[in-house]
Amino acid sequence: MSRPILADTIMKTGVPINILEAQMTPESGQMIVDVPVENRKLGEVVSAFETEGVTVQEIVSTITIDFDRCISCGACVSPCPVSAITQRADWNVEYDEKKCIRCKVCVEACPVRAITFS
Amino acid sequence: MAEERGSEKLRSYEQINAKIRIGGAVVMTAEEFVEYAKTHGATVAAREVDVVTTGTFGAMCSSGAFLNFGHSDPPIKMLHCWLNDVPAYRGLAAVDAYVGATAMSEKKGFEYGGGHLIEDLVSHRQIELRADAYGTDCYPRKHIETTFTIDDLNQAILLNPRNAYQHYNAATNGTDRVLYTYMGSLLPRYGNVTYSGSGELSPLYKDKHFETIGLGTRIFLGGGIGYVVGEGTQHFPQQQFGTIMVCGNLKQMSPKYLRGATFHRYGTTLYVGLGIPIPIINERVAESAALSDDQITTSILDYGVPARSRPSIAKVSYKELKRGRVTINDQEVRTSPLSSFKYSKEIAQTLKRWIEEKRFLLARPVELIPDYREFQPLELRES
Repeated sequence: MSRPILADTIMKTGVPINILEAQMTPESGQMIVDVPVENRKLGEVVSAFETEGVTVQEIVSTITIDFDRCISCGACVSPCPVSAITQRADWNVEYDEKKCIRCKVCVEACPVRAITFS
Repeated sequence: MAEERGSEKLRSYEQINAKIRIGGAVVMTAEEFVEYAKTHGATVAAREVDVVTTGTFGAMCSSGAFLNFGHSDPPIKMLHCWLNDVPAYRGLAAVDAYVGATAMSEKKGFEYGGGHLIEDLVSHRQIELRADAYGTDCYPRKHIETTFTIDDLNQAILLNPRNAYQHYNAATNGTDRVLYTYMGSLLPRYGNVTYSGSGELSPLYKDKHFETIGLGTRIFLGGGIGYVVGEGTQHFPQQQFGTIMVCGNLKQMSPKYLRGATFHRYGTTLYVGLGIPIPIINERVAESAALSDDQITTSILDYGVPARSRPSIAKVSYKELKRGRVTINDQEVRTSPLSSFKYSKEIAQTLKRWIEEKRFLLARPVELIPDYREFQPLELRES
């Protein structure tokens, strides 16, 4: 924990890694980061972390919208900072997982608790 | 107005109902009527269309239900009463209670409140009833714990003191932190805009001068039939902030159109589905019913200012709001509604269908809602 692993990895790979969530203790730490690259470059970032002794796990979990509960109100739409949630012309809500940064603003914004994060 | 408010110059309620009974009434949803009036002109539309149906489905905090539990043996005069741990108002006769949408569970807090309880009631789910009392000679019991469903109740009457605002302010946030309000989550530095009200589908905007709405108007309420009782609390028609008080038999309503809700860090509420049929009794009513989203404007207020009078950042139309983007300080800002337009449209269509199927007749109000009312603030006086 004495070395700036994240900063080193950014310098080494040139990838602008963005911290979404971090929990640090003197003994260990855990971070959720957004790595905005794909394929070989992503592999480079992962191995850079692993060389530093970091366990890397891809987060496949995401938000889930229960469309039986959803009332298509739109309360989750404009609070989404990356426009991952939009409303179609018929006002039904659409979710684009690729854009989602897992900030969970929508989970809090949903008045009928139709959005869960897992 | 030269003509008396509520004048039935074009057609009377009796004429409209006679046409409904033979399946000959011309009924359009507010959206259809807006289009029709644009194409053919308001005068032609007024002459041809008998009824315009409206709809809204939004969070309406001033909502609640009167319940009568019946008497236990020995009987109790409840002093305090909880339904699924939500406190109900008990300043009434022995076993009458009023549960309000914003009352919150003493155990679950924000996650469960009166709004959720009303949804559970209309879903015929089992409800826990707990009450205590001091005991009297006529009501000796001091404690009761049991369960019931809506079917066990003598009466379950939805009575909402303030519903269906004509239009409402839109909200944004000029501070540096996320705000959690009854207008939803507002991102910092004017990061988004939320708005309420259904614009050109809005029941009370479609009869802007309250010429057809008053005590006794039959309406779509919570999936069933309800009635307008009179003006709602904080009724302020001069600025198009008119409201109505409504009631109806909860037993014939549906959980689809009465949904318990929580606004994060604000509290619980109830989404209420409400639709009013507007009889086109004169040309002024037709003109009002033909108002489109671009003619209905509202102000975007900065909810970051913690005062009664929040500054207006911009004036916009519902058309702009529904487009999904408005401009604030030369920046494009995303907008999204809090009311469900999908459900609002469904309500207007359902009401239209009921009338066409001869299942719903129009009622002439016994007394119209006032078109003028002062809206007073609470001034603090030193005692």
